[in-house]
Amino acid sequence: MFAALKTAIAKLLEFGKEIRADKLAPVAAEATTIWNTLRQDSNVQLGAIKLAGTGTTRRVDLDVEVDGVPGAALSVMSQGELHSLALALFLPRATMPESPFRFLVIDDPVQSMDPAKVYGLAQVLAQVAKHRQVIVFTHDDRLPAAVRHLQLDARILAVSRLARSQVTLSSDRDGDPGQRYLSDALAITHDENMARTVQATIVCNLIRDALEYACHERIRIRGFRAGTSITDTEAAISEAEGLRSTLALALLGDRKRVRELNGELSKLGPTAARVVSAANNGSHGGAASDLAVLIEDARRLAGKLSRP
Amino acid sequence: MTPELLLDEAATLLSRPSRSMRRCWQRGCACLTRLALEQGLCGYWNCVAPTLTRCPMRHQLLALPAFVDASTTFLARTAWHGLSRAMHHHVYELAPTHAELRSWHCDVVALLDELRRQSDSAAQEAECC
Repeated sequence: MFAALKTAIAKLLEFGKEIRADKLAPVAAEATTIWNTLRQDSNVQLGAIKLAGTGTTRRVDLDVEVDGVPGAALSVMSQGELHSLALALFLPRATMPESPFRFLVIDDPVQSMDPAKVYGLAQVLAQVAKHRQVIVFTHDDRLPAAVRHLQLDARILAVSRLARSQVTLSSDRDGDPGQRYLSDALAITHDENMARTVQATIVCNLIRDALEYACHERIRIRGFRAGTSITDTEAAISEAEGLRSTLALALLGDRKRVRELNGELSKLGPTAARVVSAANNGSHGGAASDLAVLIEDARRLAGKLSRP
Repeated sequence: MTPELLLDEAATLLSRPSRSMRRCWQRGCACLTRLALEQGLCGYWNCVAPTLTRCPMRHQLLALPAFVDASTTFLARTAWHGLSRAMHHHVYELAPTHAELRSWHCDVVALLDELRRQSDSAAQEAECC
């Protein structure tokens, strides 16, 4: 009788382990993918991740290899690598569907990271930001620089702390991704070496990106105010392909109502329709000085679009 | 020097740096790899939009999405900005590691292959027309 009970307990523990391993499997797989993006060929390789221990003494076992030799890699990893590893384990767990939180707050993930890894980090965070709101605090200028270089849709705000911890938030024009696209476009118009046709193509592409971003913001803010689920809002955004459909969704609440778009655009200013048609055609006949005017008009339109 | 030769030289620095280079092979390698990227891109622009060869790299990288797909653009931007950061000496930062340099080197090889493939097909299209 006692022996049977013992066997039963042993079996139960075994099943428990299996269930835990099954539950962990997707998290572990994602952690390995994130680690591979973050490490940028560091000498440390992450193998299997297992939950071990029983009762109150539980732990995570990490199989880590340094240059292909298994060992206690945690003791030889740099501070930056440890941060990356912690992040690789944290992100998939924090973004599990069961989590009630749809946002992440990460404090200074760039700290002690090698220069090359910052681009990997920006890429990983941009991926997570497709489904969650991601708020990152950092005092390191490399992450905002990576955001600008890779043209990621992240808003950059400056936080300053006055006496008695009075916190102020400020954003210059280039803190907003939509406005950043337009600043890049303006820089292109100042390049005298570039052929006019090439300039026009690039500027129109950047204006299109800026307008699409402003539309997405408008759609999200309106959805949020109306209590629409984030999943539905994001699904509607990805269904609207192309600038005109996205504008129809942003202004008329339906991506299919593109025919009524011009009427709606005229309410946003006399030049709105012209900006949209230039951005959409990817070309703009006229002198280089006109491109600068077009960008200014686009800036006004993007500003109006992003405030529903 | 062609981009291929520059990449070969960078690879040599990576695998067996000469004695005279033992203190600066990392930054030397980053510099040669970035030069290969810039020259390869220049060759691509010569085929598709020659005026871009005279533009600053920032503008060339901004122009890329109008000509190639998003992943090629991403590859070029991460490699160029990463290498630029790595080749400048900052006392508060470690020199790039062997693994990082090898990874950028692989990225630039892949990027130049892709750009060559695209400029070849652009040239073929032009011939057909």
